[in-house]
Amino acid sequence: MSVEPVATAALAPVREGLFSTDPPALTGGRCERCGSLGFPRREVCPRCQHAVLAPVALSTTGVVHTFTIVRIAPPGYRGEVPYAYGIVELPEALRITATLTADDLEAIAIGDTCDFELIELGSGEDRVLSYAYNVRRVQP
Amino acid sequence: MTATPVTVAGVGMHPFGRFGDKTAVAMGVEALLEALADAAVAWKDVDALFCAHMYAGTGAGHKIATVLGQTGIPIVNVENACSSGGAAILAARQAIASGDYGTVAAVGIEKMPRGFMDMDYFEGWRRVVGHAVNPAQFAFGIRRHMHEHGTTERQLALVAEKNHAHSVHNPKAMYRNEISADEVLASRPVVDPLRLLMLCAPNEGAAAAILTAGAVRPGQVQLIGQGLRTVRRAQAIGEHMPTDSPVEPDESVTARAAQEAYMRAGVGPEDLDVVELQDTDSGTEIIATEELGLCARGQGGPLVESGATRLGGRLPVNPSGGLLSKGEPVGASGLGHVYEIANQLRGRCGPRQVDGARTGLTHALGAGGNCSVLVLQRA
Repeated sequence: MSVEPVATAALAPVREGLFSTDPPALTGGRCERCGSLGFPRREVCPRCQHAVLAPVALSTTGVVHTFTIVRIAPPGYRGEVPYAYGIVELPEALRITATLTADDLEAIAIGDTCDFELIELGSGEDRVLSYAYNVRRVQP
Repeated sequence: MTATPVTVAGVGMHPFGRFGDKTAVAMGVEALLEALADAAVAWKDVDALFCAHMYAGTGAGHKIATVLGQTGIPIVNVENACSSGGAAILAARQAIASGDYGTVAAVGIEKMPRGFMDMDYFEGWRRVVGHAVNPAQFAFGIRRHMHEHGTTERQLALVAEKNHAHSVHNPKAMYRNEISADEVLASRPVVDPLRLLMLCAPNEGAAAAILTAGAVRPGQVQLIGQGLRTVRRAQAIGEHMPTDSPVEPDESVTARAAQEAYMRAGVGPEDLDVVELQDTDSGTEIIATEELGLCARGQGGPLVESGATRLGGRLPVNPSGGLLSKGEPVGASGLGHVYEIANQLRGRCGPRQVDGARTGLTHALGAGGNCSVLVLQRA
């Protein structure tokens, strides 16, 4: 496993405003004029260019739309390889990119249900709090 | 159709590969001199220069002019990632079509570090969490394609086998050895389902084209259509590498750029004899063959399996060996496509020549979600 779920939220988030820790959920932005939804919350609505977007907690359960297992560490990455990275489709008709965690990365499949979780990346002073969707173990 | 006919009067290419201390500018000078000689145009008669690159720093085209001689012409440097060459051609073509200039040079140059591309395109936090990984998008695309259409790993391997078989005949390619599908399947996974030998290598090189206005002579190559598009927000997967996208119907940037190019050229995919497309990876070639209309949706895997896209097949794709064999110097690769197609249409490609090729297409995709498609035809 390249990443560990964390129980507490003492660590600094990798970027402010990406997610809330209590309750744990991604923070999207909903345009106060046209209602369109995006992640992360933006300064300007990409549909109507309105500049007021309200923070909104995104669904904590989604479905794996597609994914890969990255086996060579990309530039700047603080975690370990291999790790899974994919696109999760949320019920609010939004697809977001996320790290995917699973007991067995090799068993992840398109269509799997997954649940939001906070994860810790890096070690020592480089530790940061990030986010993932955990792919549920496939029931026999 | 473009208002003013634009002729590709000459092309040149510095080999793609690794060249020690040789600078991108030096490679660009060589490519440009070859293109000028091919076009029988003197540097002093070039009216404007457009220089495509991503890593060559400040004033790349100006440095080329410093070597060739500063004639005082307008020089514009263009950065559009892997699609930079298409952007330089767009500017050069429009400079001619507008009537502003009669003879314009486009050159693409690059000298890249090894390994995954490290682009400041990404917000910093995405690098830290491992989301700033360009080939992951290719993996996302082909994984979904396999799920929806039953595309197989073997079909992915066959793309690499085919392009490497072509490269044997291209002295300007980086890798010129045949590689079997079994060898491709035995190479290590990098971003599943893509393995090392299904991915192109970033490298170094340059390519150039001289575009001219005026009546085309029989046997000359004309640029008859171009489409240049960027992604729309609903495209979930692609080189724009989004954090999010709404679940809405959309067409890919390649399909939209191709539609524009075909419309402007007045030809369709059924008219093509040869294609050079963006095989940054095997999956992108399979998907692009569909999005360019070379086969039906979902049939890109069976298409490569059938041999139709091999040299000698119905519609050879990447007869140069593609980026899988040449490597991809991002600023130069789009003009490298033009180099191959212009030579194919003039019957100059020796053992990798597509017999009687008259109409050809180039396709490049780049970070930011750019796509450029060119249609060229021999008069």
